[in-house]
Amino acid sequence: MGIARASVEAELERNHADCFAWAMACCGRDRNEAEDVLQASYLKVLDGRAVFGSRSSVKTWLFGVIRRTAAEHRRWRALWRLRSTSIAERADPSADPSGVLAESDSSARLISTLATLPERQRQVIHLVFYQDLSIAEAAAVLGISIGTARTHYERGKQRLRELLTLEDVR
Amino acid sequence: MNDDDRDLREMFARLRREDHAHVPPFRLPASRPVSPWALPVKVAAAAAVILVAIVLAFPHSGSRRPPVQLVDLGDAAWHSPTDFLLNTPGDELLRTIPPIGSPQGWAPIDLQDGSPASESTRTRRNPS
Repeated sequence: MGIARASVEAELERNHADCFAWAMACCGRDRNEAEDVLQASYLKVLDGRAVFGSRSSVKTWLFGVIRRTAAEHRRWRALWRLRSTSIAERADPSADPSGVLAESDSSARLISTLATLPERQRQVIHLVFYQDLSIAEAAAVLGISIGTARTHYERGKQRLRELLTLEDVR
Repeated sequence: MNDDDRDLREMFARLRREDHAHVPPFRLPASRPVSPWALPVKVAAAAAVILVAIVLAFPHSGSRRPPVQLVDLGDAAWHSPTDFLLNTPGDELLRTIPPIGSPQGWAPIDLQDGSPASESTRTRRNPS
């Protein structure tokens, strides 16, 4: 890996806010799940299960780790739901995770509109607009080709615009 | 991104500012999070270790065989209880060869005209 633990911790702390926002995006804006995923990702990074290969920036690599951890977490949760019905009892169906952090109407509207996009489009849009990454960096985070990322970006942006305009008309 | 995306960029920038106000404080993970399968996996692993220990402690308990008895096949003889059925009446005739020599009442046949070569042959063909 070539990065000392102290500098890894410093990188994690420096990117913490962005990592949390990305974890939120990967977890459907479920704050509790995002915190779990983030902690699991940090643990992977610190105990060496996730190794930085210097093929991208540290931030891009961290985002990739978070994306994979969120996917694993989702699978575990699906399996756990199959095994136990108590999960359903613990979850609060009245809670709307999409509204937890948003304060303004415009942000709430943006979040609810984003939620209607397909996952890949939503992730690319988040990485490009929210995290200010390039399309190539977004492709690296998602493990897809630049062409595919560009297609998701264009379609997602167009769809987002249409939906937001429709909301304005209403 | 281009200038047409300015409205979207502003919306995301606002969302980002609002989100950053609610980011939980940074803390390093203290220990590995426990997955829902951790306990069953640990129980299964412990059971496997105990099983291996038992097998190692008593290596032949499960597969003990009776002691092997060596038999000298040279001394061994076995007869079926139905062997006597193979002894058919008259089987000694089948197991003996009639003596070849000068039997009484037999004479060589003349192969040229088919007539018996001697009086004794005629006697054998028409005994009456």
